[in-house]
Amino acid sequence: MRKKTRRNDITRVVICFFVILGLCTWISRFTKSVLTPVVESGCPVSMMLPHTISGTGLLSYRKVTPVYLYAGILVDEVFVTVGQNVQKGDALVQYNLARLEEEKQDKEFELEQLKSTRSMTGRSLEREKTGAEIVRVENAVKQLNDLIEQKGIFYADMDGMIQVQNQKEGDYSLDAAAFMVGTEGQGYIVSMDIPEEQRSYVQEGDVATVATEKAQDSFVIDSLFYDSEKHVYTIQIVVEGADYYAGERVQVEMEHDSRKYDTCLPLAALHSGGAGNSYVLIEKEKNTILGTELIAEKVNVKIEDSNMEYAAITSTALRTEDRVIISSDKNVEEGDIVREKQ
Amino acid sequence: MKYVWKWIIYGAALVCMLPVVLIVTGVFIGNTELQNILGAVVQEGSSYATWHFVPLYPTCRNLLEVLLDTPEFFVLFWNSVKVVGCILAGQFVMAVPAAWYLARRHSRMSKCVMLIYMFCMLLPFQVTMLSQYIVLKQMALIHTHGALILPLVFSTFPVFITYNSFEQIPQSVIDAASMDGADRFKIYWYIAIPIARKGIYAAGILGFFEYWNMVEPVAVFINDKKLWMLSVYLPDVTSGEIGKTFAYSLFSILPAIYVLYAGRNILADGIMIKGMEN
Repeated sequence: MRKKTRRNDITRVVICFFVILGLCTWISRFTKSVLTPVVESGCPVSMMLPHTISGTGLLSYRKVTPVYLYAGILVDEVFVTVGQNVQKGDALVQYNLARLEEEKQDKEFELEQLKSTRSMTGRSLEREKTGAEIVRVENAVKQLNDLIEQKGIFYADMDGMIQVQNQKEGDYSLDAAAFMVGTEGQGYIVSMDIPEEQRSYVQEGDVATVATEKAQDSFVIDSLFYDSEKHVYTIQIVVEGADYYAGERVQVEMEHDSRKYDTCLPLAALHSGGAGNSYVLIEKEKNTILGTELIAEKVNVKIEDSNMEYAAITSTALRTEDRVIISSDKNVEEGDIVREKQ
Repeated sequence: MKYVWKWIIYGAALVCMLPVVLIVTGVFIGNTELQNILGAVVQEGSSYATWHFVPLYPTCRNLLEVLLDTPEFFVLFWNSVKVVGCILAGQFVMAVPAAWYLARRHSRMSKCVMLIYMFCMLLPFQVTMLSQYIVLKQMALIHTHGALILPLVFSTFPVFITYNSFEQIPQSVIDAASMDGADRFKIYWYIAIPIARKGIYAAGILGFFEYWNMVEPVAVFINDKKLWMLSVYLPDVTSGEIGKTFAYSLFSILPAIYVLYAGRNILADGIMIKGMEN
């Protein structure tokens, strides 16, 4: 009887032991399942990276007319700015009236001298030359008289938009064109500045989409040049249509495909390793006690090019068949065991 | 003098028990404390390791980690249970009838076979490893549990142990059963096995200790980690999981300790070669 009880006790202990360990087996599996990061992965792909550059451009007239001032007179005020529409008769600049008077007196004195010189000159060639000079000075005096009558204000003689302004307040009026006024007749030009780092994504001949509130059309990029003053690149696009008007701001979007890269990955797959280094985590199969498991392995990469979604990379250790971890429901570090999302 | 010997024996027993004591106390010591006291051994250092028999900050974390957060341990545990269970069951089917036959045959041939068995029993694993590997590979059993189970099912050790038990059964008992109409199987099943059960249990208990702790066959024949047994796995000690190692060791020896405790009397009786009462 005692032996039988002892045998029952042994059996009970053994059964309990196995039941407890069976339960712990289940719990430990469940714990591992919950704690193991579930990841999404993908192989590197060969592709061209589409680069989209968007920004705001200013519409201006394509046809421009230079506006010249009487040169060499101090300009007290400039009434217009770039982008401003002007009409015939609008004031452009204010000369210094005292300087105008001085200039007028100088020119009148010069005219007197020229006339007396001509009367004393006998040879016909010199007389002709002096005559032409007299005409030039007479025109200048006339111009100065007009300006003095207008109280030193220079008025626009055409309708249009100031597209270039070379004349500045406080400077002497220029020999060259003080303004470039755009006028209707040959369509419009959209000008947009792009940063230097985006220069490689744009080239002449690319197609750009120009959108206003009323219209949206595609046009070819006409020119691309470097603006050394603003340290930016400027693109110009010739547009035509009834829905555009000078001075309007338009949305410009350009798409440019890069060269084909062998190894491209989504940006989410890239990690920063500090000091400008980048790395990706790839899935490596490892034979463990729980079977074949996936371990996150670090591979250093160098970013060649990137857009908003993808990056083209180079690496000596990354192969095209490697599965790179793109996203995970938990933070994944090198050496962590991960599971593929089903 | 008698007391002196008594204390010497107790002292020796205590020294023998020290590894188990270290395991039990180590389970309740935190990893930081274990790093401090065993760092010199685990990592390369010039100082000596020390030990705290009473932990500074006792914790059950190691136990819980192994039980609730280490599925690897259970894979190995159930592998061990499967392999040892299959070996012992196989030996009951193969070795016990073999021992019965050899014990009752009383011929020169059977004695010769028994001698060969004893010789084979003396051969260490290293000697038979290559031949076993070749045979198992031909049978496509390498890197499977079959590579561990099959050779040990035909182990000579349980035959040797149970041979003695069967030999003790008097011929008169068998003759009486035979006269009562029992055939050979009935005599074996209903007479021989019950009488020699302590020997069979002893062979099973000793076999359990040997197979539960076997290392070489697993290391040689099994490449796939998921087929390993508890005896060949230790968590990575250097990565700050020393406490887990102690907990793992404790759970590994628990079945063996219990089997020894439950079968201590059977083991003593079963191995003993004594005269049978009629």
